[in-house]
Amino acid sequence: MCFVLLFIISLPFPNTFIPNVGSYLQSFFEGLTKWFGDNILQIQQPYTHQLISDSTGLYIHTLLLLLISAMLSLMWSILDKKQDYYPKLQYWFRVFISYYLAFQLFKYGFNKVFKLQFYLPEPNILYSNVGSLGRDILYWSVMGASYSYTVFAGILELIPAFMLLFRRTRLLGALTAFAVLVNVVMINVSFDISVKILSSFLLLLSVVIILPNVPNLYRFFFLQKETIKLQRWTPSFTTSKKIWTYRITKTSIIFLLLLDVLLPYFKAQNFNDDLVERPFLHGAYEIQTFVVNQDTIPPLLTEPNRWKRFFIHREGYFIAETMQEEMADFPVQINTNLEQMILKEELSGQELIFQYNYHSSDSLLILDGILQNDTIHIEARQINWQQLPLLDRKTNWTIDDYFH
Amino acid sequence: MKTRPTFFALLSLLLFSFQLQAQTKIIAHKSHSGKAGTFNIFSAHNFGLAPIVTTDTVIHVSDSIFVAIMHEEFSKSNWRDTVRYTEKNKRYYYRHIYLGKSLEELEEEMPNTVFIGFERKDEQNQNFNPRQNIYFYPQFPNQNSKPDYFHLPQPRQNKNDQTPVKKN
Repeated sequence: MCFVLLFIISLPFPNTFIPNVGSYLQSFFEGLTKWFGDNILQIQQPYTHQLISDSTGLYIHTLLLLLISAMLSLMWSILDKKQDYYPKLQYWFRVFISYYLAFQLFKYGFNKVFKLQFYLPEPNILYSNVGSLGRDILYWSVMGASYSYTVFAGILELIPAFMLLFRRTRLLGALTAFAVLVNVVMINVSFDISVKILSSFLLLLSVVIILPNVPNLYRFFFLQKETIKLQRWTPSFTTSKKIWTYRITKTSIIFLLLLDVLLPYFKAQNFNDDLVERPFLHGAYEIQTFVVNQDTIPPLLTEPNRWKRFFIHREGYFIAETMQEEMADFPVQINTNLEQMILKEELSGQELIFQYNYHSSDSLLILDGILQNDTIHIEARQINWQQLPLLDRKTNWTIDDYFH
Repeated sequence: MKTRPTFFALLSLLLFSFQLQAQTKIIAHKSHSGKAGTFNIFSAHNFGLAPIVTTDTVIHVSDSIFVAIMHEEFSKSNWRDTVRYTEKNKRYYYRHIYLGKSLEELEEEMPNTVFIGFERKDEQNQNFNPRQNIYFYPQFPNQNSKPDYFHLPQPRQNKNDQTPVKKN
């Protein structure tokens, strides 16, 4: 119980309007993690001590919380002789973690349903060699390419989330969440996605909710016997005032949780990220002419300085693909008034300013700029990347359809 | 012990604040073919989750209080020349991650953020007072305040700290 509560309150993230308690404890726990890592574990090589997903700091923090929780639990059992309130505490703790788990499943579930988590692959990814991609971005892109499966995966998370909120369906919700989260943890481990600790923690929560029912589940599924009603404390509301207070409180909490999760989508009016308008000039461009100091560079594999394609990423990046099919990314600002494209080399801070001229009638983009005293002139034509086979949403029900 | 669902409900709401920030930062970085050398854990890109929160300015109010001015983007659907800010807000931090860091360190970690009132490394060494860095306090929202608005706490009295405390 101590570990779960400490883990939840010690890490920050701004929600839409629910208070971000973690931000006030973050500096304390990060300081503690750094001290523990440096002095107790004596880690010599540089590491990320900040408490962000799957950082070394978060692993140290988890270990630290386990130790603190073990000590607190020991002290609690020695000092506290009265144990008559334990059943009530256990009940409310179970309710709390059920709501917490439901909240997380709502966040991730709606993020999938509205297609924000697994977004449509960007053109530079679509034109990258599969072998050159990491497993994480490849998995993300494959999921992002299928609208129906992403929505389905989101619904699979939303179903247990709703069931966890009600006493009658809580166990079934926890069992469903367990099945879903085992798959999520395995995906995160197998595809090397950096949410391993959080997904494992959520899986642990589902186990904690299921645990008191394990004997009954065993009786039911393996012995084919009737289940025995668990002797545990549940609140009973005798007066109508108390009943209505309980109902109103519960409804308000569920409403607030859903509002916190859903408000950003309503504000953005974005319920399918695949259909959101992309920024100006976004897309893939095949270079037709590449001129340096009035010398036209031919499209040969032996030309190290010629580009083959370039891409404008929706998050404000210009990605150049060399003739050897290597990608280089630059943050880009596009000024439509001056018709300028300003590329920045992140490590050196060097800027390359292109004057651009876009002909929408034939999708031709002309760039003129100066880089280290060399004049560069590029003529490129936009590629219809949406027509690539990966983004074809047609489902072929027979093998004959594949080739027609 | 009396059953107090309202109390537990409020406690639950208070504790429901955790999420990890970097859920898909590495993937977001890889999505624009970013290389390991340019990956920054403090960058705002978090492609997988909405909204995206960016810290624009951090003001050093006193040795224990910082005000961060942030913006949240819920959509980039209409941007052309500049990013459209749909919401702007302030957050008050009390002994936060910024504590004890020099201007150079902060600028390196968060290159797109403007830091006001922070000392450079050489200035910081001259004014260093080890007692200032000892305490950390959790700060909870004031019960009377609206959600997302926090009352600034009074910092621990420090003889060397003459900076007036800004009240909310």
